[in-house]
This record gives sequence, C-alpha cells and structure tokens, in this order.
Amino acid sequence: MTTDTMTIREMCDTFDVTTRALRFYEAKELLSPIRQGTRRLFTRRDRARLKLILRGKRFGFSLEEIRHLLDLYAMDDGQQTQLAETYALAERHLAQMEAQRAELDEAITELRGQMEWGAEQLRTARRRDTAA
Amino acid sequence: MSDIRLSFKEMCARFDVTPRTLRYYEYIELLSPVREGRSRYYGDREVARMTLILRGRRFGFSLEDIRQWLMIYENEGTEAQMRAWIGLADRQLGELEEQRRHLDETMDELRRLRDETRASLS
Repeated sequence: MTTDTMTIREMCDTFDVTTRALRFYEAKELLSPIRQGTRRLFTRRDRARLKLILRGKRFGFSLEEIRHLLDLYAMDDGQQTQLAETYALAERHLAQMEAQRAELDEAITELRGQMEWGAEQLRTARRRDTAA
Repeated sequence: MSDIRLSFKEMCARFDVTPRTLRYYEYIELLSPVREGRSRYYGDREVARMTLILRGRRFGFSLEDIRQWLMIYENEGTEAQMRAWIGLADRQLGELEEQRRHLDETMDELRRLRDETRASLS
C-alpha cells in the first residue's frame, strides 16, 4: 500500500466486509470516501470509523447509537464525552445480553429435560416389548 | 372433557402473542379452534398445543419440526418418530450451546471495552 487511501476492494479484503455493506454505510453517511467518478477512495478516517462501526455491530449497537458515538469523536474534549457514552452504551447492552443469556440457559435446561423424558419413554416402550 | 374455553382474544392474552401469530398457526394447521360463526374457541387441546408450539419456538425449532413434535405428543408417536425427535432435539441443543458460547465471547469482549473505557475516563 503506497497511498494513504484504499479502494473499495482493498477495504473489503482488509475488513472482511462486502461492497454492499460499505455502500450502505456510505449511504447512511457513516463513511464518506472521496469520490472520483465512480471510484471511491477510503481515507484513514473512514477506516477508523469502519472499525468502530463493525465493533459496535458485533455488540448489538444500533446504527443510530454508532452514529452518535462517531459524532462525539468530533467534540473537542479529549473524547471524554465519547468515552462516557460508550461506557453507558456498553452497560446497557451488557444487561440485555445477560437477559438473553438467562433465556438461553432456561431453554437449554428445558430441552435437556424434554430429551430425558423422550429417552425414558423409549426405555419404557422397550421394557414393555421385552416383557410381552 | 374440555374444561377450558378461551376466545381468540383471551388466547392472545394468555400466551402474549399477536392476533396475526395466532391466525397464522391456525392457517398452517398447527391449531384448530372450534369455529362458531365468526368466533373461534380454544379448548384444553389447543392450549396444550400452543404451550408446546411456543416452547419449541424458544428452543429454536422450525414450525415443521414442531408439527412432528406435536404428533409424537398426541399419538404418543411411534418409537421411530420419538427417536427422530430426540435426534433433532440433540442437534438443536448443540446449536443453543453454540449460541451461548458465542454470546459469552461477545459479552467478555464488551466487558473489556467497558472496563477500558472506564479506565480512560478522567
């Protein structure tokens, strides 16, 4: 890489995203690559933003929440506001995930119970067959 | 034999589902309420089936899988069906456990982000 910008293809390879996703983020104005005719050139800023977008998505942040965080970066306060908001957002999503995890736990326990019930039914049927 | 007799609205309220969902289950013949004119009534059998349907959905079963499961429950099924269902359940259990592992990883990562963020806050 000799230049400081990346083509859409290079972006896809580097971040393992589709061109469609990149165009989508551009349409939502989360990214603003330099346009040269139909070519798009992504700057360092775009790359930094994309990293944040992808991380936020993995944590289940909404696009609006991500946009908000990105906007706060522009604030001239040593990112204190951005950090505080990130912290609050992380707390909120963690609580959601904990609830989700509790539900999963319950489903797993219940499903195991059902399977044991099924296995027991089969054993009973077999005993009946043997006895007959 | 049926002790319960719930209206469409009562059924929605009892299971916390939308009218659309309830009508859909009827449309694909998972439920068959008694029709009286334009009203529908749900008895013990439908309530029991609905409990199983929602439980199956929570396990991540497809509606087709659930149909099989209901058959096993009600006809007491054949041994082969029961065996098939246990196989299915086993697979689904693996998937749920995988989901939980994945969720745990994401939560760990998010906790790290939170803690780092807190540390950088002055």
